[in-house]
Amino acid sequence: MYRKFDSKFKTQIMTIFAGEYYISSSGEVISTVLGSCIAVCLYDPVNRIGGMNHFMLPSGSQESMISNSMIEKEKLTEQSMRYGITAMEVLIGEMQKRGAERIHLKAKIFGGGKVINKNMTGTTVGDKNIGFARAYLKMEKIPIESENVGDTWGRKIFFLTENNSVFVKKVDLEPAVEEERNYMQKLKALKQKSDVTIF
Amino acid sequence: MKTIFAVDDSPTARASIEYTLSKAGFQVVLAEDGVKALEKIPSTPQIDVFLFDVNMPNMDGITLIKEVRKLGDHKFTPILFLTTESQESKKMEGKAAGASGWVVKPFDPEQLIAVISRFAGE
Repeated sequence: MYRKFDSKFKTQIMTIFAGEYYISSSGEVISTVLGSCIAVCLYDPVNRIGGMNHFMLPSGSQESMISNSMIEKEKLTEQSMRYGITAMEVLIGEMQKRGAERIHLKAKIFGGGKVINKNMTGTTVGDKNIGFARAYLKMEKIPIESENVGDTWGRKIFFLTENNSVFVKKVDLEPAVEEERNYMQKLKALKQKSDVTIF
Repeated sequence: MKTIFAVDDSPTARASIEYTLSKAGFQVVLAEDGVKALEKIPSTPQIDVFLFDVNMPNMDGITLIKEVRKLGDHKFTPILFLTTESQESKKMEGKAAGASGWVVKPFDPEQLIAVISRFAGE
């Protein structure tokens, strides 16, 4: 991630990349560029803390993991799902450490652009990421206040944690997806074993 | 059947823990934060291993472990942390508070079962 002054917003903007998250309690603007990945903007309007992540489910499989908008319990521990769940738990946990309260949390979700491949049928990577974000937030009872997801374009988003509004700018999907591809490779290469310490 | 008492504020995490451990033959008792856990522990007849998250509302896992260690019945019951926290300093805080081990999420189900079985004396 990096911080840069933006002349349009007349403030410093923190830009995050796939696999990262950032939290602000001082009204900063957080930005990211999304292809098939999802960004969840979470905020606690009472304690005035906002955070955003940028992640995807690493599995390339097309099987459905979600039914009735809930994550099936048999799928909860699958590797792909575990990384999505952890990406969300890290953001929620770090926001709680900064003073956010779970009961006040609200969400806005973005991304999940569809790369249309002639040979591909059924669910796209973007669809799976959208389905996961919706189902996870439903299970956590965190309301989704708005969303701008799917379709065949990429997005550059700006989360204004000062008032919890999000600006979305359409961008070309391919370059955004290309950047996220490196992240997906890294996720797939991650060790599957847990980090266990016995005292 | 061994009983695992797990505390996590995330409904998804609780569902995942319950699914993983009950499939492995454990009885699972769940609580959603430290305060609720302390209310529920005295009425749970047998607890072989505790499994705590760290970041939770009302009472965090580190405070909870200190409270549980004060309970006569659970002075020596193994307590594991299952958390997204991976910093050494946090782990040391957990160890000092009386934890037996630390598992960083995302967890590998087989590995979690193996660690818990070891502490449960299975």
